[in-house]
Amino acid sequence: MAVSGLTIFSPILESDAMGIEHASSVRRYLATLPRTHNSPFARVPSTHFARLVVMDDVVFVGAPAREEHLTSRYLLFEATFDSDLDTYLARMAREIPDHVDSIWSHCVGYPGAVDPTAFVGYMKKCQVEATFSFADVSDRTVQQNLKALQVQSALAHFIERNQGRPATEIQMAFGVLLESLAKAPPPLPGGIDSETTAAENGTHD
Amino acid sequence: MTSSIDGKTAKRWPRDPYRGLTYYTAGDVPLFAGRESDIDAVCGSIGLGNIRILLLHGLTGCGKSSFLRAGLIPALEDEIAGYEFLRDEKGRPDFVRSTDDPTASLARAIHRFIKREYSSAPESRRTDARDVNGSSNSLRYEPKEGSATARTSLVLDVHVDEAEFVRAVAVDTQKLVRTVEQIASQRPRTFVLVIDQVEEVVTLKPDSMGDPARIQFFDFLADLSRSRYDLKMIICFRTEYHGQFYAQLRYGADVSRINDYYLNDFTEEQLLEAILRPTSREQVPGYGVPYDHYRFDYEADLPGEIAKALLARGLSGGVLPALQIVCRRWYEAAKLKSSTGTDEEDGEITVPVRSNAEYGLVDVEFNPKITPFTIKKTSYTTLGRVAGQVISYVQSELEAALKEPFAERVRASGRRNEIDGWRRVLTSLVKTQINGTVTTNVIPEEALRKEAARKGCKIEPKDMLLFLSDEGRRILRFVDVTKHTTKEVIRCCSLGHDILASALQEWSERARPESYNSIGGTVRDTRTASNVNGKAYAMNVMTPMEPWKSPILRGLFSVLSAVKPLQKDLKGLSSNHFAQWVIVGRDRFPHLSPRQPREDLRYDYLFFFSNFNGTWNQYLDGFSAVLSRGLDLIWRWSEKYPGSVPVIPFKGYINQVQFDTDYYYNAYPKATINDVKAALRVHDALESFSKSSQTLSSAEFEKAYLRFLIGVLPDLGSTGMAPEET
Repeated sequence: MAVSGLTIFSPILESDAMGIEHASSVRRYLATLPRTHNSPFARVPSTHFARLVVMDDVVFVGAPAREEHLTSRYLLFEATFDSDLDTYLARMAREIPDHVDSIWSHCVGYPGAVDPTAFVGYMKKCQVEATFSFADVSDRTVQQNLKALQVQSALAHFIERNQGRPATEIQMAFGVLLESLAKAPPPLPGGIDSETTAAENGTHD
Repeated sequence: MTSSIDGKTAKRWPRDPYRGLTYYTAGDVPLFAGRESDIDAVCGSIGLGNIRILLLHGLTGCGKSSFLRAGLIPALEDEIAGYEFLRDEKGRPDFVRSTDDPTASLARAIHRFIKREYSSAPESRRTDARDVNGSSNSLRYEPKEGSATARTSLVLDVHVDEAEFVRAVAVDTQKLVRTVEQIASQRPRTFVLVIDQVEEVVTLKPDSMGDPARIQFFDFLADLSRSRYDLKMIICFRTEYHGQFYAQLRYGADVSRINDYYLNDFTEEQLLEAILRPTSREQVPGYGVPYDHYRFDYEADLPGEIAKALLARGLSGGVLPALQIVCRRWYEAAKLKSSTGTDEEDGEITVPVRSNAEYGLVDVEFNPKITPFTIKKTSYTTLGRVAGQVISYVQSELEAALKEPFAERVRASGRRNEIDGWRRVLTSLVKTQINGTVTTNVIPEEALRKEAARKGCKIEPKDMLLFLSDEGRRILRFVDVTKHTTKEVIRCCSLGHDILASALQEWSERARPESYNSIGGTVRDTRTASNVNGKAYAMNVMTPMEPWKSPILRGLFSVLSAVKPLQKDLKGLSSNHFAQWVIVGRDRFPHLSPRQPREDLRYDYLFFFSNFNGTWNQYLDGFSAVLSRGLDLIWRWSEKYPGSVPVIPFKGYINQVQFDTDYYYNAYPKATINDVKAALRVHDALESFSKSSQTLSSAEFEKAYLRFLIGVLPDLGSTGMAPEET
């Protein structure tokens, strides 16, 4: 399955309705959102990358270019994911409705995540088609990539532990390795917490 | 019909099912829910004959004012009918605002009361028992039967000037005690005084400057506690000052004549009751069924969700005012939506801005034309939940000011500045206590007006302050403060409620310029860590482009998409996971509602989003060294693009046009793109080896395993977090 990208600009409720605080509220919310395996996007497991940006204005590169300003602020959502766009967005509405509401309720015309079809429709109204996109690994899903990383790590440990042992023992242990890999639970997307990371960076057994 | 203590008819439903920031009054009795047991307890406590002083305390925002006005006072005056509270000039119960000199505040209120009630002025409200000899301007003191011990001297002459009286009380607080006793002796019912926000005697001047006023006040209370007259004083304050007050009172007062009551914050059950009362189908004696009047419901589970969310917020300033604000906003929005049939498709729900006249507290007749409606979960989520609603409330009231009474004073283009200016003025009333609690400050009106001028506000400060202090809005309150030394009265302002203080505080913290993601011109080193997750960096770049150049660039991109070999440079730049270019035409920014202003842009914008590994400098060095021709072809159409070689101006340009990510998620933060590619090679190799090795003998396996090892070893470097940068 091909990896796809999406770019969505949602105008943030601003001048007339709620003013500055909508942009700040969403920014504040985003600042508190977990970024590892407990990230809401980890619960939409087809997400490779996702970013959210409150875009305050357009840039001004200096004279002789002309300075201009946006009348609305925009919440920019940019993501890379497996599957088609509709499935992905509907999955967001179903899996993480509270987070989706907390984020996009600051935007103009947001219908709520209660009705995934309305949510998908809304997001597509805000979508801007990518003009050109590029993925270095474009044919693997998140799960395949994570599984590969899991296999790579397990194999490295296996080789380390079994070096110098007789071939028969290695062959048997190899069978056990394959079996345990087959049974291993799918790895968590989003990485794990920092304490575990520090331990993993220590010496291997 | 029961005659109301506000002089209005009480058996009519209040106009609004929720009060907003303004407290419940006698007219709101049918909507005041959840406090029945507290009312019974306080009535019992204050009813004990020897009790003179009741310390009524609770957390800020627990609803002390509403409890008194819509709960305790109607119960004592109308149901038990043996009590009479001090009244203000409009005939409402007068809660004397403490300020830093409560004795002076009380003296002033008492003086005004006597002036109104006992002078010959025809407009005065008179009760049966008072002196009806209108020919004299003096308080004719006629002790009640049975109070033979009363002093017979005339303590107060209404000709005594207010300031003079306040000064005399400052010299001898006994004078105030005696005056209150005399009034009490004149009334047929037990006379009750209320002093509100008494913590101000400590908080407003915590240093030694405030000591004289504090000593004076506690002396006054000590004397009052010993009074033999039929009078009561209720002292309301925040619970955290209870220990301090009680310790002070113990020195001189008769503590056997002092009771106290702790008014607990609302429990979830009580909150639910308060939320649901206007939707109730149960008869309220004398009023009827609330639902028949208000005609709305909540979607199932929503009230529980709201109550939980309110409690979870740990709101400084109390859960009750937050409940009132948010429920009123949702109610008004849902009502507007049902009456105007706002289309679902638009999805946007706004809280209607109410006209000034609509804020009158006068009851309106039941309107049977209201179509029943439901507050749905969608409007709850669309309007924003509890968070931010209080600030939004302030915002919408400021907008109301600009839409109606002051529309002509501010041009449309200056409205945002005007609102910001006034919010800053209000923020100057925020005071942070030593323990971190955020409360309202009391500052002279004059100083606030100057602050408004400094903030460049166009609306005449005097008018705006009056607008904000309107009873229905209650964002501001006026308080008269007595200068301790000269006893001069200074008109001051405070915020209507502590919850506004915490909301404004939060707003000012959020609105600090340095917390903003200003686009361009930011020094690279200060870029936030939110651009990074694990080993990946999220880059956002935006460049302006003359619209006529966009089709050329689109053409170039289609060639690049079609001819794969041309992409090899991108693959060669090994740190790139995923990248995309997006051209947004000058008129192509999403426009979703007629209320959203249209963009008026001259340039198209080219956006570049990428996820890469390594540092910002490494990435841009790579661009400059490996991709320069390709990049120049893409970016040369952008305004003032300097070219990717030499690298310094290129980096300067990217620095200028890059903007920061607020939230970045990465499914495999510990792996670079090369790690992923290596892992995939290992995975595939293992898969094919496991298949081919299944039937091998031990000797064959040994050879095959060795070949497999040699094949995968280069790809077995373990992944993990990069070492911390120092």
